[in-house]
Amino acid sequence: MSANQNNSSNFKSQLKVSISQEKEEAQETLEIIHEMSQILNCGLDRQQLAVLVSMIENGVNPEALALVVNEMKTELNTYKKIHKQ
Amino acid sequence: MEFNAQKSVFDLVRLSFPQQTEESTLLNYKTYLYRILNLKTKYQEMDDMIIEKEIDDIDNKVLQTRLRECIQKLKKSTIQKNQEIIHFVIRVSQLGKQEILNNSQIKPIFENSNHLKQSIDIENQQTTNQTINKIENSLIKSMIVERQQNSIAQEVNDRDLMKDLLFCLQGIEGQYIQYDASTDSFCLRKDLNVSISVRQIVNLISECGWLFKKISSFCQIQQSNLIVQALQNVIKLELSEYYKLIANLEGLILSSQLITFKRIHFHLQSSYDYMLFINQLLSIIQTNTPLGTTSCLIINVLEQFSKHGCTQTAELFVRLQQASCQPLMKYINEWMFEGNLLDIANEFFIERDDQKVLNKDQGELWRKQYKINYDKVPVVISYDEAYKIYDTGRAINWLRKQCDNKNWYLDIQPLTINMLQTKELSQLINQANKNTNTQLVNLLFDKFKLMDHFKMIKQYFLLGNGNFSQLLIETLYTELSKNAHLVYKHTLTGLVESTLRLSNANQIIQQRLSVKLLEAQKNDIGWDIFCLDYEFEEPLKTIFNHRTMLNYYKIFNYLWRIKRVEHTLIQSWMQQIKNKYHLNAKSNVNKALNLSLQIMNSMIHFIKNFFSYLMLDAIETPWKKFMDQINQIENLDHLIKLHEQLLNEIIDKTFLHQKQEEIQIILLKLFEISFRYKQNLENLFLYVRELVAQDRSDKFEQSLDSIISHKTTPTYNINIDKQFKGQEIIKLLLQLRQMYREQTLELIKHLQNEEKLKFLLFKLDFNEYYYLLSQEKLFSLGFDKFLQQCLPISIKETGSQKVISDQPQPQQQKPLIPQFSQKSMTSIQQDYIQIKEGIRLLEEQKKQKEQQSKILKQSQQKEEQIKPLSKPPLPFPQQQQPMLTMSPINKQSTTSSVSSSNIFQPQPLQNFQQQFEQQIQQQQQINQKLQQLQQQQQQMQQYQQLQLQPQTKQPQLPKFISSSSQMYQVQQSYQPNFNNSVPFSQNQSQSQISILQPNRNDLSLSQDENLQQLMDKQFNVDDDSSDEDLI
Repeated sequence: MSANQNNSSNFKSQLKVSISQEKEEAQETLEIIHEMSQILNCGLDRQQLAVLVSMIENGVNPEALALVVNEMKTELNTYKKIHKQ
Repeated sequence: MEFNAQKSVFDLVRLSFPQQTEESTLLNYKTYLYRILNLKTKYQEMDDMIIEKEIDDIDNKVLQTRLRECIQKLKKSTIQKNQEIIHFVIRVSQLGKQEILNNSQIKPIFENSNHLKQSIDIENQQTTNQTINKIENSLIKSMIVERQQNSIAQEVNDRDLMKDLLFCLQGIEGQYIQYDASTDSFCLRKDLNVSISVRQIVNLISECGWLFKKISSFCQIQQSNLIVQALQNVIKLELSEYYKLIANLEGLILSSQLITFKRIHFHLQSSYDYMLFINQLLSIIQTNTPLGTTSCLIINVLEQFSKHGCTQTAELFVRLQQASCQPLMKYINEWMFEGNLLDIANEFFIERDDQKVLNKDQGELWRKQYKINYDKVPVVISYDEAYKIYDTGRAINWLRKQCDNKNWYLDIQPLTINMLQTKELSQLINQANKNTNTQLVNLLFDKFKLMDHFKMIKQYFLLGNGNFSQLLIETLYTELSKNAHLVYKHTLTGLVESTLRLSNANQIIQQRLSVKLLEAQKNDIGWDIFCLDYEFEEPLKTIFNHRTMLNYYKIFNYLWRIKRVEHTLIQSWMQQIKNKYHLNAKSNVNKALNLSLQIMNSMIHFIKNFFSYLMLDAIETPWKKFMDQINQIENLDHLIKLHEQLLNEIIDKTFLHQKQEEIQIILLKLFEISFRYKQNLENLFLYVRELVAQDRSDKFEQSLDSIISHKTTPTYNINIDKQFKGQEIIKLLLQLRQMYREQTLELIKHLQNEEKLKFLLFKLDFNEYYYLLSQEKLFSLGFDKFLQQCLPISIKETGSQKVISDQPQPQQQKPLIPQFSQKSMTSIQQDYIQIKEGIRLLEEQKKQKEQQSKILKQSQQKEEQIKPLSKPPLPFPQQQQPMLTMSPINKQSTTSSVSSSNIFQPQPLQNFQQQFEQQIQQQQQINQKLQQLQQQQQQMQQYQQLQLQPQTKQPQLPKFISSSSQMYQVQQSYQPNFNNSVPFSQNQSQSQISILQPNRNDLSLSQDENLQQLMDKQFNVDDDSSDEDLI
């Protein structure tokens, strides 16, 4: 019984480890992407990038997504201008 | 977790926009951006070269190296779509750069426009408009940029192109040949550097790929429709040939050098043609799918295509058609042999009607449970065949489910596809249909004993069993005479059951027969709502369904009413016979009884004949026809139809049909009159009985009187009432007769119009009595005429009717006098006074008459000119009666007033002179009689002194006086009303004429009663004298 329990707890911990590992990796890749976007002057922060990357991962057309981001930026600018006035 | 693009876009928007932004605006942006996301933009992965170029654009070399490192790291990382991410990031930066340029251009416009805007909403709208413009700009620009980037013309190897073509042929995009959504076709990439001829032929071949893609996409649609599935399958099979061809081509391309585009095109030619046709077929099917008859349409279209001129194409479609007919045949076989409906997808031409909740009690299962939908019958099956298939299946289904006959099977080989559109198929279907129907019919006759049930229906519903109906009407008579809401089903059921047990009914009927009460309306009595009911179990219920049973109820109720009338009349006849001895005892009601007997006879004649018409002509004849036909029935439908025909015929002949409502109303009126007659008759007998009773008490009292001294009895007034009552009854009877006659005449008028009812007409009016009545050739005696005959005064006055009235007089006059000789308890003393008064009045009158006769002679010549203007007597008494009721004297004595009124009216001109001569003679007679009267008066006084009581005839004496004295008074009071028509003097003379009559009557009466003693004879003379005294 105890052995079984140990086994199960081990399995769980392994799972945890794997999840945490995945998280770390994702964090790293996100870091890399963030650096790239900074170099290329994309003007996107980490959170936005995370959403975008997840979308791309789910099969959204990157070309279209790029257009969307661009469009959003312009919208944001106009919005901010209106509100300042 | 499922990926939701909309949600992600929304997250993105929320992250990018400031926190205080309203939710609605965020949502607006989200939808707008999501729309952009869904714009299908061409996506092509960036080559390394482009990336390099992009990296090179960055001025800072440190950054360049860092970027390179990042890209390499990313490619190594676990993320799958690293390429896409790189593309995305670069694209964003590219667009960002362009945006800066754009923004700088737009800015001024934007700032200007801002001044105009008041509300944020409008601004938002405007900005979105602008942004759409912008995005269009940017899209175009990006496309231009892309082309510039891809403008490097690529040289393509023929072999590579052929390999690409193989993908294309399977509907997959290749490296060079790509699907262009705008033109909806596969074509060679435009940036490839290939010769025009190659480009053309490649595009031509790639057409095959497009067709393949279309067809295979159709085959992948999941359909519940079995016929569509069959078609999909068979198309897939056909496509396998195409796959083989592609495989061959692949082999050729890879191995041999000699393969060319032209060769590939040649090999593909036949497949291309097939696919073209199939695609045509599919497009027809798909455009018509919304119409809902897909399955039938597929077979129909395939049928069309299979008649294609090209044999190969035709063969292809025959194959397709046969395959897709497979499910249809399966349906048909299952339906025809098992009665099961396999159809799930609602594609078979036989449908189950589940929408209406079929009420089993209504017996509509046969008719309504399954229906044939002729829209869904494919061309390969004719409508006739389809109906027979439907009929067979329905019969089998019914056999299995309703009749519980699961062991019977059709001994016929199942239908196959090869039989389609051949004679064999229709023959088989015919045979199956015939076999099933005969089986069904046999089952109905043998197992369910249909004929027995028909017999029961005939016997009990159509009153075929006289024994039962007679018993039933006797048992139920009192119960049903109650008001409708007081009639209860359970009591009636008990009575009906006991009747059944009494009658010669068998066991079966006892179980099945019950009582049904129709819906009662206001003023209905039990008779109106009573109806028998007969229970049928399921298979028979189809034949005796709700509708037909309603008709049976209708017919039964109708017959039942007639039966009631008949019964009522028979009862009244019996009553009449039972009370016959009263006629002898009290002959003064004789006339009324005679009249009622006459009416009753005409009623019985009518009802007997009508009922026999109903039973024989209206019911028995169609029934016989039906019974002859029932042995030859082919199927249940036929039986149902015959049954309905039978019922319709019966209803038509019994005048129950709606268009014969007029006749129906007349008949109902006639029945009503019969009932009223019955009531009247009862009143009459009540009256007679009272009279008899009174007579007895009279006798008793008289005998008492003889012993004890004179007792003055106050019954004289009552006598007047009684007499009035008797007259009232006669009046009512005459009214009834009149109404009855009118209705009969009307009925006969209706019957004359109908050719097929000639026989009934003939029966009802055998001696053309009613016909002559309707032609007014026969004189109908109205109330007043009748009274004229009854009363002695007016007999001579029936001038124009003399021919008719003279003949019956000898017989009719016998009972006439007794009407006046009512029993009275008046003492001789009173009589004496009255006689004295009468003599006095008579003398006065005599003087008047002598004067008037002189005047009359003078006025006679004048009157002769006036007379023709006076109208002939009206045929019906009803018009005259209102006048009678108007005169106040009526209340005292109707008879006299009426008689007097009638004297004036039918005065014929021709007889006037004769009458006048008679009057002179009569006057002489009067003188003689006056002398006699005086002598009698002396005799009377002597009698009185002797106190001798006459035993029999004496009571009549005062009556004469009273009635005639009243008459006299009435005449006087009545004269003013009729002055305009007849002169006063004439009235007087008429009243004189009447004197003759009592003599004759009395003589006849005395002859009848030969037994009377001499004393009585003397009194007879007294009677005469008293009459004369009065006048």
